[in-house]
Amino acid sequence: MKRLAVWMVLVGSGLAAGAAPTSAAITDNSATYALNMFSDVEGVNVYTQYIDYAVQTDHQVTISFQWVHDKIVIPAIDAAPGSPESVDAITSASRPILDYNDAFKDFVKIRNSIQGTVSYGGLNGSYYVSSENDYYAQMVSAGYDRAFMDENFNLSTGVAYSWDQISPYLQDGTQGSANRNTFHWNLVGTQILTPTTVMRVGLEYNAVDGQQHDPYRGVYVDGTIAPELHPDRRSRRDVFMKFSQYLGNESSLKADFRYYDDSWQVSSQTYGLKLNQRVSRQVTFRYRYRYYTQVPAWFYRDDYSNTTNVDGFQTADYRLGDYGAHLFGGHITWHPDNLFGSGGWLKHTELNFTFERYFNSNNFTANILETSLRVSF
Amino acid sequence: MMERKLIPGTLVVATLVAVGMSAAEPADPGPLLMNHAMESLSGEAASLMDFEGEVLVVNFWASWCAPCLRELPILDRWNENWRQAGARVVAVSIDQKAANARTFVAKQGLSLTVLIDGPDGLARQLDLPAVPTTYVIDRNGRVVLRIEGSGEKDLEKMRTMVESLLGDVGRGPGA
Amino acid sequence: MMRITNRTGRGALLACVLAACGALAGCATVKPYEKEHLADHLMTNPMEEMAAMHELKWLEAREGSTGGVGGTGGGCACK
Repeated sequence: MKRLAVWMVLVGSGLAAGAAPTSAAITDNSATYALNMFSDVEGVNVYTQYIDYAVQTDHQVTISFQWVHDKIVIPAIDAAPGSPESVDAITSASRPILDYNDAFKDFVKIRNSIQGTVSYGGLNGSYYVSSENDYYAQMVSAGYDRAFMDENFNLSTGVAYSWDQISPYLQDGTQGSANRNTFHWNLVGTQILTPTTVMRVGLEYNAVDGQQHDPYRGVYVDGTIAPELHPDRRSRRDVFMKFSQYLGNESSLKADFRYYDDSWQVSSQTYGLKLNQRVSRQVTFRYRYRYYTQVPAWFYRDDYSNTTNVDGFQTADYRLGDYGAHLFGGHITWHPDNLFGSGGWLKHTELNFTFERYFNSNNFTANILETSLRVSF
Repeated sequence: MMERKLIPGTLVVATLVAVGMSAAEPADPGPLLMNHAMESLSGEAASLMDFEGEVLVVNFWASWCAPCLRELPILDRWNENWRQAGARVVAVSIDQKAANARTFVAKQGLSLTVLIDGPDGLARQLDLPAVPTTYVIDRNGRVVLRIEGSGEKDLEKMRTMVESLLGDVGRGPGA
Repeated sequence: MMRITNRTGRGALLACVLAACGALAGCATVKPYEKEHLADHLMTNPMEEMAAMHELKWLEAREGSTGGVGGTGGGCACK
């Protein structure tokens, strides 16, 4: 795996290098605030706030910063500690139930993450850290992109390495310790096909090593509750393609496809369609549909009463099962003129509103509402 | 595995296909620039010959080009000082819809000369290598400098050339 | 539910790669002054790309797959 990773990085970087450097251009500074609210059929609510800030220095170096704050609220449930019914199931936020009293309270979890990125020319590098009471994650990443063919073709490659510290709460009140490390690599080509058409094709690879099951989740096996156990290693691959076409009547159509598979034999296909329509100089509507279908992991069983051919692995994670999902929704973008007065320092403002509906074949449904404000100055 | 053989082979093909092409450019674009018929913001016929005898900074821009929109206010400030010395900035819009150019000019309150030409006029005939592209033309109608893009160094090169043509090297409006 | 096999995965990869090569070989160079529609927010919108990264996070927490945006987010207990 290490040799493959090194080879991927070298080939991607070698291909992306060599073209004439792009000329330095003046860019805007920008700040964005977004609020995303996820609410599902079982009463679980996730509130996520994003703040992004990017500034360009005098030496054509861009520095950007992102802070994400998640608040996950899971309603009180009546279940014994460690039983499958006590599993978060939908948000997948870790939900410890240490004793019977915990099961009758709303569970609230807070997660904060910060990411800083520095870009210069075609190079970029970033550092990410995320903290919650039982999970601490860090990641470093680097990327490079180059334009070819009179800037009609752009090739980019990136690598990332993350190392996570998992500290689940145990029944005796102490915290356990486990690790998870992930290596990521991607290679993406973007090609302008015509004055109104763009195509993007990408390859991605992830190698995950370490604990990958939920430490709080149990699995019913022959009438007893056993701890969930997944393999320690998982190799994940995907290939994707996106087409964007500008249509004549102030609209555009975007289609995307992704094929994914991994070493646990989970594989999936995702199809997406977006139609953007400008209705006035300031307002654009977008309609969107996404279809997802997945094949289960080799060790996934609906019922573990017969545990042959699972090599001791067992899971209550519906995400490793056989299912499909639909997502559809609408989006409005508004570019107001002089929203905060005509002082001149504020060059551009953009307001976004999104409503989407998600449902899958496990009878799970969720509403997603997002609103954001972006200003350039 | 088939994927391992396919990926490097495909990437090699993609790289071989990535050949840059440069279109031929007129030997001296000065006459073409000076004589090309365009329109003013108010729709009247206009051309660079209307400013014959002046040092001209002809800046090709578009309302959809973010670097152009940041560069134009700078050129507008320089134009105010250069006018007295016999130089002029002419901003030629290559927008498909002239209304987009008019809206931007009105919103920014630009006072420099703006002409409308569209994407199929001089832009295509000169095969502009970038947007924005700026030509500096001397008093005899000859192109003496072409700037591609809008980097700080490029703007400085442009200012230096104009001031040398005006005979005022070292004394100028500043950035 | 459609059965997906390794052959399907290889086919998908081959289709994407061939489409990319075909597009690269067959398309003419689009000039800088012809890119007005490509610069339109209908085609290129940084907010849409930012939202795609946000969406990747919650989809990873609710589906068994990952990827499709040409990048990755960091770790969390939600994955």
